[in-house]
Amino acid sequence: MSSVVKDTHHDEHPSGIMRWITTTNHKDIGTLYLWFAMIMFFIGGLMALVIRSELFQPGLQFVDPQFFNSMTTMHALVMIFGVVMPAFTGLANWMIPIMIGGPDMALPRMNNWSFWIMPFAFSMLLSTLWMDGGAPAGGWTLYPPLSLQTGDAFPFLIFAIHFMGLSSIMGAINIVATILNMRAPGMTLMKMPLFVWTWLITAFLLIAVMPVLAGGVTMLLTDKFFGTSFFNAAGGGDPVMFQHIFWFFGHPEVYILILPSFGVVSAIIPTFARKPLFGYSSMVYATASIAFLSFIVWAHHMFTVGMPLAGEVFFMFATMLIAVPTGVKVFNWVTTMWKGAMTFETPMLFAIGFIVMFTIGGFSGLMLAITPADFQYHDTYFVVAHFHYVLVPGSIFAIMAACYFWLPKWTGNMYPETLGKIHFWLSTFFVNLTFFPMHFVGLAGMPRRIPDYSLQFADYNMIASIGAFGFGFAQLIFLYLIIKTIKGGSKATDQVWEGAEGLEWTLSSPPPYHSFSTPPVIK
Amino acid sequence: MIQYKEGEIKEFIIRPNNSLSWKGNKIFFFLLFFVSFIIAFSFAMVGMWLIVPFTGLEMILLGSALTYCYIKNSQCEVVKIDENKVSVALIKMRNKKVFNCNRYWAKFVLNKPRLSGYPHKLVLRSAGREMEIGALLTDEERIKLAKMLKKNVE
Amino acid sequence: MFLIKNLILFITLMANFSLANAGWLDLNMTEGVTDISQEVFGLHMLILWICVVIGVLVFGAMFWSILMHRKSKGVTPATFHESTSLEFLWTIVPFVILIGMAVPATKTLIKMYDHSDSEIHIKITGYQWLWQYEYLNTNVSFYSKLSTPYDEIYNKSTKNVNYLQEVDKELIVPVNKKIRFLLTSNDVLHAWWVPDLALKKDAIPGYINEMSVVINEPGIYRGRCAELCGRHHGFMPIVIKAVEEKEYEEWLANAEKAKTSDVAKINK
Repeated sequence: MSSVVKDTHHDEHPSGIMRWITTTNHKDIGTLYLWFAMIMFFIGGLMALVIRSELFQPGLQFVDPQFFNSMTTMHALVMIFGVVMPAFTGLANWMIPIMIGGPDMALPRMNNWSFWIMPFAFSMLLSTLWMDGGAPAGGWTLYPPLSLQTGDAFPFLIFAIHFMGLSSIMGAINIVATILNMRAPGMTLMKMPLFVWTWLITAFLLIAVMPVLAGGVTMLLTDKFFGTSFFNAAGGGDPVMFQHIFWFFGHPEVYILILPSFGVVSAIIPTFARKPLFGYSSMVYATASIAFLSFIVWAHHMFTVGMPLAGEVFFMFATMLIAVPTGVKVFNWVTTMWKGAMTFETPMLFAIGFIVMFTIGGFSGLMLAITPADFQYHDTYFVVAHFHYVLVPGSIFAIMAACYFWLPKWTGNMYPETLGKIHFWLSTFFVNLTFFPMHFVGLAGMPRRIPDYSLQFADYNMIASIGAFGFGFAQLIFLYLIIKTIKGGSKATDQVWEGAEGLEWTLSSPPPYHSFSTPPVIK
Repeated sequence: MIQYKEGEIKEFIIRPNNSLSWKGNKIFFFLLFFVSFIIAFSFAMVGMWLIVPFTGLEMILLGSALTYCYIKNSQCEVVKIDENKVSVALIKMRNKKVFNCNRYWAKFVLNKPRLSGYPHKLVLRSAGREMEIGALLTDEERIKLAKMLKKNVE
Repeated sequence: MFLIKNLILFITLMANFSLANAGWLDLNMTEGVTDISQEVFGLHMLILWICVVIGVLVFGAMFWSILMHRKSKGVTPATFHESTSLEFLWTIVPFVILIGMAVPATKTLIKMYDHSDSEIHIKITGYQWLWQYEYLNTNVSFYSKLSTPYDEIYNKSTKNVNYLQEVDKELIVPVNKKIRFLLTSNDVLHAWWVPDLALKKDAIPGYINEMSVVINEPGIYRGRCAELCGRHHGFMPIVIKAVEEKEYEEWLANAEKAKTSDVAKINK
């Protein structure tokens, strides 16, 4: 409403690249986020393939151990902050205003900024690969004192993290303001789709913990450059305190990465089971309990730092408790499918794949919660298998399911179903081929983040590497399929899926491009 | 939200739907405020005080975002149509701007979006000048409003 | 489906490679050679089987539903979407199961934290990238680092069977005696881990962590650094040799003597 009265001519939206740079439209920004995540997915994936190539056989073949460590570090940072979080923010941007019947996001201009910070943050982070002393190689957890041994890359790493944090905070605040204030009349909180609910809770977590990360990494920076001793034992500081800070952020962060996928799956399963979601309110409460518990379990990442017995016991119990609300969710999904009339289009396949493999990751999570056993699992490939099971066939599969589910709505075109199914089956096969053997090598005693290993781990590492390459190439199908669907395809109806319910399906699937060409004649 | 009053003078009150009261916004803000500062001060107590300023900055951002959003959602447009005049009042907090034009020159135009799937734009056009109406409505509401307004100025 | 596919693949691969290659059979956690490591193994198997049973039930119900309740079978979808008793049931039952797992776990944990009555005290210090062992109350102390030749690492010669898990000087300890390890670091974080002893703890600069163990069987046990510690994190193994008490006493006496004569030489 800035210019109330202005001269007659059409409101010319900039076109071409300027359209994307200046856009405040939630759909455009959602698209930007999703494409950004896609690009980062392939960059992070390439890093994973460097790791898996080196680990194909024992011995050092391709890269220097320092560069190997950089790869594990950067792979994690890129995949977490550059893929899963932006992808979910993109989905939120696209779907939340539509799902709650609002006109746009609450703060459109801030929405634009929060996206455009990301490319800068990641250019900065990726530029460290060419710096003296190499890219950060101390692990994405940035534990001091090792992370303080980073070379020139260090300040770039810290500021990149600051920018990513700023971007996600602005995104989260925007989403919170939208969900709270922009709902259509009659859209009460307990009528909101679960995707909106899970994002509300996710945004709450983000706002609560992001300052902790920002403060933590800033203290690393002052320790390195300004002579403070927050974490420097020689100066009276406490290196373990950083781990507490990091995981106080890090554990809620883990749920930030998974809660929106619960929302996505809760939208897809009822659609293709043609049956309402079982236990809507218990799903909401379960999500809220998971969020609450996420604040009191952080030290289960640190069982081996030598906490007092009482601490170990407390964090073990609290961690085990998470299994209860998570279990409720899985049971609800299975019961939603029970006695439905199911069909198995690609989104449904990905959602079912999500439930099965996320549950496997949940089981290994429960095993990791048992402190005495965790002493054997901690920092081994068992942990790697665990969190990849919840992140790849968990979060990533949910994002893919969401893409297939809403792509017809976004583009107005149906995607090629057979190709989608091929993509699903290849991804599922290779993801298991990659990560399931990691349980075995982990239990057999292989630590994480090592560039070379002794001979008894050779066989399963080889299999995992084959799987990783297969999974990587299978994703090219996804890329091709999305581009193809955007360019054309059979037209989608408004409702798209037979069993679809919710506000987004009452809107038209985009009408053909039409510009307003004839200026109206004033009477 | 569109409220329509029939009568001698036809009146359309257009406002976005404010789905949470100011009080509700405050409760939400203070909930996050307390959670965040409890966390920040707990860390400060063990010497990690650098988290506090970040929490402070973030709370300023959150507070201003919610306030801005509330103010934006509180504005409203009143379109009055009588026999020979169309007037549009923009009310933003205590600010009121009125735009008048002759009914015979007035025309409501619903611009279709340049790109598929994007919102329509409703403008009042008169004597070579135009202004946007209903920018804060959802697209369906805007289309409905356009139909109602067009019917009334014919 | 994918599980079956995986299984088929594993079977074919297993058939192609030789089963004699030990790697294929290294599927599970080691039982180890201490009472506690066996308890840990028991806990691991207990929770694994609990997970397997729950998994079979949940996935069973799900696959039954996938097979039977599909649209192509012409079923009409049911409309139920709530049941407080069911929700209550599947909140309480897992909770009870969890308590059943927490109790034995806590018992084991308490035993692990009991360092009393230790007879031998060894201080371990982590360096980038080697370990230092000091036998407290004696003058014996030495460094222990990787002894695998670079040629093997860079694939210029064949890798021996203990590739990357051999050191120049092993840590020698007696069996059937309680040993207390004190763990610290001189630079960055490390973690001292020997799977057979179920011992893993971080070595942290400025901290001294404790752990204790009674080894039941003589033998050579191999472990690794388990906390990322920089470029050669993958190259700082641990080898611990457990011997009969008499042999240990002899070794220690010799080591002390050698050390004393070394010191004497230097002092001359």
